[in-house]
Amino acid sequence: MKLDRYELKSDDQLTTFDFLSEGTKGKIEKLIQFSAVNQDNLFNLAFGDRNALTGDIDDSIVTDNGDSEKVLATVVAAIYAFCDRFPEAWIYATGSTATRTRLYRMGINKYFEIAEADFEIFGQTQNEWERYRKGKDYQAFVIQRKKT
Amino acid sequence: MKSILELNDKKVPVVRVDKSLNKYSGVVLFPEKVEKARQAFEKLGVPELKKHSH
Repeated sequence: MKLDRYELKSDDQLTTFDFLSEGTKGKIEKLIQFSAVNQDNLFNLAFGDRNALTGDIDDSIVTDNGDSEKVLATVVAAIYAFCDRFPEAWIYATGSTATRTRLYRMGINKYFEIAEADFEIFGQTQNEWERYRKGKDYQAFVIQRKKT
Repeated sequence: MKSILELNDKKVPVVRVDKSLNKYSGVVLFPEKVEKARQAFEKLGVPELKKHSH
């Protein structure tokens, strides 16, 4: 299945990506970053809006630009690109609020069958990782590209 | 040779390198999220694929 997504730009290392969301509130620059987390192959995934006036990056803002599915598909595309370069990476992701985390979960649920074919997907409970199950609430998610 | 449209249909997208983004190399844009990730990996490690195999 081909999802509509925005054109991605990235730095040399394929760790920071940039794209332009175009929706009901105009054009909004978004940045996606995969940051190393102390140990080899552990990364955090986060994304947010770039304030056109201050240049600050904000991952807590609710943009509501009417293109959330296209934004999500673009973030997923960035994950594929990143994993192509770092195939052993474990990627952690969580929302800046419980509501945002729930939104991510809804996105995973919607495309779970497609995602599961390409990625190992786990959810974080209080005390462990468990294989992601649709409909269950998680604090965070961690994924790794499946070996072909 | 594959056309750009064919390439864009692939799951791994065509990504244009923009050297202006290199300014973010080594800069953590979302430090609170990275700290959460660090704590989670420190507490739980990484998932064991064998233990969790289908």
